Amino acid sequence: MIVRWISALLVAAFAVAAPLHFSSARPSSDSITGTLPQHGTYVVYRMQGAPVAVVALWYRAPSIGYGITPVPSLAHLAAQAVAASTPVTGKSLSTVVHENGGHLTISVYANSVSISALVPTDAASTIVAAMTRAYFSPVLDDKGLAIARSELAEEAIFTSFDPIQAAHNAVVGSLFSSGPQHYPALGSAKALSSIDQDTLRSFSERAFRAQNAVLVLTGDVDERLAASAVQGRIGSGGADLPISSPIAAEPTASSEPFDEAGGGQAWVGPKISDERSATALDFIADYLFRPQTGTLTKSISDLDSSAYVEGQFITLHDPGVFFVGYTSKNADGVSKEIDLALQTIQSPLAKTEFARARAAFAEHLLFDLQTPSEVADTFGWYTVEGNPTYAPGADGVRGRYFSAVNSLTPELVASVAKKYFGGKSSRITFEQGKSGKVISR
Amino acid sequence: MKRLHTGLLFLGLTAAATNGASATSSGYPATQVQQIQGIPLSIEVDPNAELTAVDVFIPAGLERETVATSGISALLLRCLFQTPVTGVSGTSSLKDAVESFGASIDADVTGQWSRISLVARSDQMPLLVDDLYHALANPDFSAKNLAMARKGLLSRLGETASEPVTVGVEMFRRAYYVGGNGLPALGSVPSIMRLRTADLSGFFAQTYVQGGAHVSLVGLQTPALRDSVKRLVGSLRPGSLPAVTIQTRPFEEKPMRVVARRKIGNPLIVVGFPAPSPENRDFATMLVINAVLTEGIATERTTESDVPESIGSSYLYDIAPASLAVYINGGRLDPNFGVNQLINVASSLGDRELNAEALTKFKAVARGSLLMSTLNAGERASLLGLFAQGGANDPLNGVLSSLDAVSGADVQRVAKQYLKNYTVALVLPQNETDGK
Repeated sequence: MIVRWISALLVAAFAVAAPLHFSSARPSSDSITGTLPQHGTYVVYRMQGAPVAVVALWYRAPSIGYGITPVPSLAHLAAQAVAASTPVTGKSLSTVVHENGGHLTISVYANSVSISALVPTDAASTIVAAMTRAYFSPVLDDKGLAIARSELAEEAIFTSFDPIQAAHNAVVGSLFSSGPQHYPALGSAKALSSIDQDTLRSFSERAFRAQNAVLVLTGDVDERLAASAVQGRIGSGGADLPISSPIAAEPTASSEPFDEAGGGQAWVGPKISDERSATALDFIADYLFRPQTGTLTKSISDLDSSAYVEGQFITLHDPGVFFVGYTSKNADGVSKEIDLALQTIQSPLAKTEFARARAAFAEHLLFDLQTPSEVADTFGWYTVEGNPTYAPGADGVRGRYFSAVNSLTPELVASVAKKYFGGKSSRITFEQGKSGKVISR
Repeated sequence: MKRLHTGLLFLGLTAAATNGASATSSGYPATQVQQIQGIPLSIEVDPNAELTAVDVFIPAGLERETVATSGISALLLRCLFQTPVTGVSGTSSLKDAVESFGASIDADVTGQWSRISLVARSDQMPLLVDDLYHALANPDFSAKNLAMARKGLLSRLGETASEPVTVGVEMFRRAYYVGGNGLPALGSVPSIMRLRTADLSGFFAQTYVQGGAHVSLVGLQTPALRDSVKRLVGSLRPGSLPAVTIQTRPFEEKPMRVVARRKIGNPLIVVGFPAPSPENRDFATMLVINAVLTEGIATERTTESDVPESIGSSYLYDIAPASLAVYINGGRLDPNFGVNQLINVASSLGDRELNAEALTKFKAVARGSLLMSTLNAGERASLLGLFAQGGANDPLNGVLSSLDAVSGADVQRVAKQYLKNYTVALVLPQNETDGK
């Protein structure tokens, strides 16, 4: 699709925050959606480039399971074990992907699971069949489960040393009093060892039903590929509804020891259906926190060149979450810089600066939607969170997300920032080498 | 989406090129080579591309450096990125001019080239190439700019000193290559501190020339962009550099071992082999051998993860002759066991042919690795530029076709030729050896 933007340079030269213009001078790069044989959904998006395809299954499923008693890591262990298990006829999904020169990735979030294979195009049909066979009729064998436990335990230990991940788990968890958002999607190695095979099997059969699936196909693909999906066993019901996580009554602040000094903060944000507000927070994340170019990223780098800061709005069914995490030898200074930036953004940006930043934001979106994996992740995520047509890239740059970008104004961004950064939040500080205690306020 | 269907033409060409070998079932969009002022421009056209990537390869690579000027290519690029350019939004550094509206500019120094990479919205690319042209036409090597560039480069140098793979591969390069190709890509602290404005001006005048330069483009080629690229290459001085004779140290029967100590958590072992360059007919076979060496020893994981791999490799095909550095993460795999396994696998590859099942698997892994390294326009422009040097018209598809044609006998023959001798570089944690 040919995109005719008003030149960002001209926008800046005239200091006018005019809307970005798009025209459709060439055929649309729309995605194609359809229904799988047993009422799951498929999304197909064709892209030019390397002869590769992404075959991804997305499910709306709680990471802690469906029972009254939460089982942290259940969804992740189940998805990993299914991929590693060998059905009576054939090889494990993991082996099939690997032998075809592909990569298999499993990502689990509070309310969703993604199983994604990046493979050479000529293997795509084989992988669609193998993946849908593996998950629509899940097999869990002892060997597969043992491999999955071992790998995830190692991953859990590895990520426990990641201060940003630790900050994320702590502050997002304390924003919610219970429900999937209250727990990390991948818990401790100990938690993994306590999940029994019956619980996993029961969860897999409910969560990974064909009716609950979104099959996403991107890259060098066409719609015919969806026909390679197998039927799977007959399950009941349609797609699951999201399980809500109640927001905690009081904001929290805590301090804990960690290997590196740093911290994090999270705020309750808008739900995914509030498209303008969600897009405004995405804009703020890009403007302040984008690696290399974010205004706050740069000022923090000036303060401490070895500092790391990350900020993003996590678009969720209801509510979304804005998260900031950082590490620095000068953690206090960085924390103050973050507070100042989030305060300053609550006043409208100057028109020239806003025009430049919005043009950059739109271009960054295109950068972030370059590969089949990036596009598949976006389509899968927005579909299971309940607003597929708002996915960046859906309908190309004429879609709803880019329309929302187009509708941003300095005043709107400031008012959204004021509303959400002045609302409920949680904060954690990591003190290097110090033993800390949890403080509530 | 309208897609460029060039498959039939591509299959015909590659079948001929590979002497009747079976063609790939699906390939990259075909590329074409045009000439702009005598400089080759390799293009993968995507008429629907929202983003376009342009890579400029200038023959100012490591091979032109000496111990005294080590790091000069990298320092020069940093000065170039900080050179003020004036656009419609005012005057700013080249890097800021490109990045402020969302585009990206990057650079690196390889054996043969200094490579500058631009990725931007297709309609804006001509403006940004013009910005680069202005910087190249009037680079700022002033003392003030040089000091700023030096500070940035030294900071980056400090970071890479604790990156074990970078350190290990550079140690192997230093052991194998004589001259500039054996020097660290970012230089050394003493040499960077010594370099002055006159050095940079002289190096720029000497090496930023049209002869040996080339450009690759992936995305939308418009007349405006072609004009901008023409201006850009016109900013390079006409003429060519004298050829560099690349020298390597001969491998001894007893492998050379080099050791360094750094502030790292676990030991890292690099085993380096000579390897064929991309234009060599055995290049694809070596990609399969690379897959065998790494996949044959690695513990297979179910899924990708952030947990570091136990083994990996770096194919140094930007230098001719090329080399292959296989590294073992001592934190994930016992170093002695890992090296012994690697050498055993290397040796057995020369002793007997892979069976058909294994060959099929490792060819698929090699093919997948190549494809996964070219997922976006910037990555493809980079590889297209590097591979186009052999003169191939459609080099990425050429490699895919050659991979399809690799036989078990090829693997055995090439293993015998290249894996017989090797060099070992060992990077040890500093605290482990302190006081010993």
